[in-house]
Amino acid sequence: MPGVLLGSIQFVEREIPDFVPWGGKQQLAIHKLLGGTRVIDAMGPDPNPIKWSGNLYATKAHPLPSVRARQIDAMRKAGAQVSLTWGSFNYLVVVQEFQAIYKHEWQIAYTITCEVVTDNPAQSVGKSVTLDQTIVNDFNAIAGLTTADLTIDALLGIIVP
Amino acid sequence: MSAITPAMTTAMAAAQAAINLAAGQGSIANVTLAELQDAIAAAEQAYAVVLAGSPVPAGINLDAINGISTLDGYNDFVIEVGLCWGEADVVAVLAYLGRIVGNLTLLCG
Repeated sequence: MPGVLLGSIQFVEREIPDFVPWGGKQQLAIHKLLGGTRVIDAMGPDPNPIKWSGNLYATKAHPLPSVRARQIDAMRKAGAQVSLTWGSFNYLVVVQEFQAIYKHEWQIAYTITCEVVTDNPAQSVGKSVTLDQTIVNDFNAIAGLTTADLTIDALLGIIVP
Repeated sequence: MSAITPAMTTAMAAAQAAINLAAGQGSIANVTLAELQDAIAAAEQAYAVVLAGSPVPAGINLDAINGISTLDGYNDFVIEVGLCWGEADVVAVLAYLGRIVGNLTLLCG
């Protein structure tokens, strides 16, 4: 699965964030006893929120990124549990925070924070991408830009309805 | 209305060919530094060509009246949008080329 998939929203090409932080803490109950003895009880994993920033752009498949930004914001408002998948990772998350910055109708910067409900390693079916495939994908993306561009007319259609 | 010129396309094709040549039938991750050198040089050259050919939007001065009709202003706007849109194309290509150069350079580390 290329890119990052949040619910039904797919982040592709330039929208793919440079990095997605993940990990978390182990909840510990630390008992400090007389004489310096410590008893530490492991109480279970406490995953950190998954937070990243990026831009939504106009693409051939989705010419209006503002629509997709609103869809993500709707996830935040609904508080529903949605799937978050990238590479070989899969989580069930709730969109805790979504901040969008409108730059143009065709470009919206955003920051999103997802609170992890469960980590689903068994469902992590994505394949890791090799360096060769990354380079090939980049060249393919460039080829797409040179051959299948949105027209100015289409752009003006957005600005001057 | 892409701002990608034939010279840019040629340079990028040359970079891709050099990378394919270096990789041979295997992975680019397994080649020697000497074999990688030409690929990196070609990728950097493509980046330089695209960077040099980037259109520069002139901006629109709303206080200055250019021409005598509203249509003149509208035409200025269309030209400016074209420059911005072309610049967006080139910036996107630069981002991809930058990542390619970066990935290749990391292999030398």
